[in-house]
Amino acid sequence: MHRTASGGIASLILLFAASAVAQPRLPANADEVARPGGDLPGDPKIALVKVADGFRDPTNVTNAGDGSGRIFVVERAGRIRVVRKDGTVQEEPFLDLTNFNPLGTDVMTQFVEQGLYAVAFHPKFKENGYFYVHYASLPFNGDGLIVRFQVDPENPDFLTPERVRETAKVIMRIPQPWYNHNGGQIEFGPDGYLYIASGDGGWEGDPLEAGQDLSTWLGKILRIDVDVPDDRIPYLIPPDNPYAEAGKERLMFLFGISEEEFARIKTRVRPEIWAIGLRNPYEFAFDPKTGDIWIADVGQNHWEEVNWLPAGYTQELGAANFGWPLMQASKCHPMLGDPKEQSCPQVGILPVAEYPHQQPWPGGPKLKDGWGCSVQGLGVANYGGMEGVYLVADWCTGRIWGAGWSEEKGGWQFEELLRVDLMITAGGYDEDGYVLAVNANNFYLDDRGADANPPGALWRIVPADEVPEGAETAPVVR
Amino acid sequence: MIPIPLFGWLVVLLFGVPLAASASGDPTPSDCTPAIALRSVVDDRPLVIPEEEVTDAVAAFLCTGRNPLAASEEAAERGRELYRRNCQICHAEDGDGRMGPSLIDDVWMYDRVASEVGRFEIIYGGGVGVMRAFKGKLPAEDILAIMAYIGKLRERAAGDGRE
Repeated sequence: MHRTASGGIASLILLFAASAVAQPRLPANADEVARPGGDLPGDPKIALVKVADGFRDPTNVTNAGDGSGRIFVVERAGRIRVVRKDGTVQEEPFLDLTNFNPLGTDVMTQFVEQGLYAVAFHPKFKENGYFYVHYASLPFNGDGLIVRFQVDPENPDFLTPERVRETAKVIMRIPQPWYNHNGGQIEFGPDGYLYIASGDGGWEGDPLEAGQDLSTWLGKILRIDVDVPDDRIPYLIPPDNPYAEAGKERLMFLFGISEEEFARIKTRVRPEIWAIGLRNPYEFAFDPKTGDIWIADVGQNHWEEVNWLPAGYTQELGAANFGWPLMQASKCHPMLGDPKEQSCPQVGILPVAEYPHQQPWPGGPKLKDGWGCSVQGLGVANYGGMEGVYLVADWCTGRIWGAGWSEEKGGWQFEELLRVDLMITAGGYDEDGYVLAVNANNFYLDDRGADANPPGALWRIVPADEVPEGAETAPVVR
Repeated sequence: MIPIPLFGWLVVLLFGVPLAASASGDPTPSDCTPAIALRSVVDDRPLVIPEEEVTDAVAAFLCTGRNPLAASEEAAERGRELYRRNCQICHAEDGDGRMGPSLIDDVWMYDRVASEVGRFEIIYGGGVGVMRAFKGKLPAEDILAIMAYIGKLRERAAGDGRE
């Protein structure tokens, strides 16, 4: 910057003002929500390099954070596979939920959205060996079970069926009224609490109105403290959860109480609730650098949404509300026609990015490019010119977008970085902070069974100019 | 459907050069030089139809690039049921799309799909993502029946002024 002595102070003030407004912030209105066609800083170019393959219907991937370099690939049928640091896949699954119950598998997979959804390793896994899974339970008719297991320190790569039975501690059972929209992702936040993504329970249009209903876990991000002093207690409520105290029994007083104080009383509320108004967040991720949370919320007929909250987000009253089913992305729900001609109150927090289906509204134009149908969050990239860029993949069209903040433009950007001929189902991180992705080969009408569909693969997302020589990369659609 | 084995079709489809003729029916491979060489709409890989799927209708289609069942009410009726079972979940009952793109307008995700050959190619060989290949799941002639029904949906949409 060229600065004269006389203009120095003024410039400094301007610079300060500019930096004050250039920080990532929640969109104030729909015009500030990024859509396809954006321009991320750093001109990132990415490639997907194959790490390993042969996985049956992979639904998620993560690492244990224990320095072992292992990558854990979640298979829908109920198995977790270990990819060793050298890229080889261990033959024995790390965890197998299909054979510890003498009556057969414990996992419901009849509908393609059901199965083992995710695994999360305790932040102190290296010391305590605890890890947590979320799956559709067959004995519980598809309800979502959150269960803790503990590895045998003598055998850290494999749990025997006996070990599975002996160490299982059921943390939570999320009733699921219908077979779709089960959410799935579980992940420890930088605060050490376990975050659980829960879909709205299913059907379409949220017939339960679960998204805004504080008395159900459905349609929410939940947050619980699993570090209990006594294992007879399943979990604790973090004291700073938005509704930690709202539902507790208390004496009733009228008069002389402020409206704000009344607003803190919610007698039917579930204190586990951390964020509300979500439809089907299969995937969310924390930015390993900043702790910000990103949530990919699968949309209904017309729009997919990408939500963001800065680390440590709190609000004066209640929980962060992403609007469903009163809104879908930045639009009214239900959508009755051209959004320009339909008005509705803006409910809660707008997504930072959104993308349309082929037809952005009923009766609207049909798009040739820049559309998709089901957003799957992968992870936040802080490499290859990207800083805090949340990578998402569209399951239907293979498009991979990056969502991120541009200081230069003073707003959110959403840019298509690559299009691959893969049906990507989820993502995660390796221990080096690279974003991983898994793809499966199943479909609603083409599901031969969680163990019988053509296998999928594990991919690492790297800067395009850092593809190792001889590496196999994902087929790119030009 | 009357399957008629036609020798050399696999090679024809790979290289677009007829190597053998059939003594039965018309047109025969020798009548169509060059034969249509089917390709994936995604990456141009050759698509190979197994001999046992090359019926009269499929053979005719591969010669002319036009769906010989397009005007067949019977085929369209059969295609309606096949469409319901295989296509409707994404492309909707009226073909106007939902999870997948509309089939009743002229906005094609791949330019080739504007033609009947391209339409066959994307159904048979698949597109990107959830547009799965129906090769091995539906015989080639069933795909022609589905295309005949899609033709009906397009006619209906044009009649409604929705095209």
